[in-house]
Amino acid sequence: MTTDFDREAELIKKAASGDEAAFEALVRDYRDLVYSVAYQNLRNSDDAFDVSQEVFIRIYRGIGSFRGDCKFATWVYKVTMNAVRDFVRKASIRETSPLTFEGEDGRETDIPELVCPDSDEPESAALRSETVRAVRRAIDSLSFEHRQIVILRDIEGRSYDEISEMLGLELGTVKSRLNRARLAIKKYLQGDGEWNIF
Amino acid sequence: MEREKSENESIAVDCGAALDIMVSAAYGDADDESMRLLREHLAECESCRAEFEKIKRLPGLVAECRVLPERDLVGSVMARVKVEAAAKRRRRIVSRCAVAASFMLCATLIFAGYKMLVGSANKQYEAPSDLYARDTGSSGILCAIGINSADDVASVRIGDGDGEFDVADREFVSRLISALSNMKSGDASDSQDGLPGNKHWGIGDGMGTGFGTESVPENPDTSLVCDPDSTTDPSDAVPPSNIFAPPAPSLKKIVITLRDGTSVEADCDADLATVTIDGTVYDASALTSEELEIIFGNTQK
Repeated sequence: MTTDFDREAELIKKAASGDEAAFEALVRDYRDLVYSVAYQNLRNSDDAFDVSQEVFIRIYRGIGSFRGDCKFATWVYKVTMNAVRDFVRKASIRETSPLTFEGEDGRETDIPELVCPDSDEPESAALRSETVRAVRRAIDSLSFEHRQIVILRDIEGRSYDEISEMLGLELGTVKSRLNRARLAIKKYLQGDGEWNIF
Repeated sequence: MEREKSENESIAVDCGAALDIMVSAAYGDADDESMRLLREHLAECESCRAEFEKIKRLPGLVAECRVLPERDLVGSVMARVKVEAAAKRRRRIVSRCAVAASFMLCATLIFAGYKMLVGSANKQYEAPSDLYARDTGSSGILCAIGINSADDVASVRIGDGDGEFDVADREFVSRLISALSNMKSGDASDSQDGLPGNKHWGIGDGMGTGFGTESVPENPDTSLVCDPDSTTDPSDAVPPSNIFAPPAPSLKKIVITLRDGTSVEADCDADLATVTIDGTVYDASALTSEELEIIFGNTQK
């Protein structure tokens, strides 16, 4: 029986030997994680797209040196964060600054490509979209450390073990930090007056 | 008061502690004991029940904050990967070519080095005018024969104290060339062996009347074999019959020059069978050993 781990190990092996189809499969598997982490940290879709491309090119160049000392997801995450840091450094953007989207009039504009559940009621969809934007602002307000954990666990659905390895933290630290981050989101929404729209 | 006491007794956790559990519970992370405590608290606390209903929506809303790329990220990445792969292949090809070129260069250098070594061993065959140059002393003749394998021209320089040679004497030139031809064909050993003053054939000690060398390599080419039956003296080793080997078989021209600068050019055919001087064809191989002896004998007079 082939597990996901076996499948991934096989893809990595093939990609390392130059199999482009295998590498493409890996890109598909990690596209969302990479882009999401990049986007949540950069708050700009174009920048996130560029950085994501850069991440996968770095992975392509370095996959031959991946020895499996850590999970592939961990390696991908670290490559992603390094690329984000490099980008931020170049762009002189502070990582912890909660960035907002600004329209031509200088006001906050729609969050691009939100994954919203289908709804037959436009008003309900608009309300939910507004609520999601409020939650996004709450996530933006988190510290860098809290934001990473929320992204990895509550947005990308990574396991605690993976997150522990990715961030180099004890499992208990991950859990406690995650709970504080979730509470901070709730408090932000309460303080922002958004809690009432729930 | 009674009511407060009742609540404190029945509620194991306060609202603050309950909030922590509510958040964990909303995300499915609360353990069984925490859930039991929360249920007990919510059963008694209406405000927390309302709060928990809101908190339970949080995980879904946070998950909806996931953003997907607007453009085809996979396609863009793979397009760049293909460019990278092509560049990598080019680098690999260039690298292999470089390795191959290096190998070829090394092989060429090794071959050239080998040729130089071999060339130095055969130096007496290839360098004009340092070949067979020797004054035999007894004859008073200096004759230097050089064969340039690059253009297949044999240069014969003749100079002696007597000045008896004359390149205008076509007969003499023809006979001289015949002598060369005979030497080349192997007759020379017989014809020269009995010449006056020519006690020693062989490498390192002259080869007869004016033909010899003092600069034979210590490790001669295999064509310069010694004849162990000839003499016990190594210096008396019999020269190979084909004294001009290896360049002589393709010899095209012989240029004979006297010390005073006068010279004659003789075109020759294969194996020096005939020579052509100023349009006249001479049978270079027609001379007998006796004639050769006369020629060389005369030069010593």
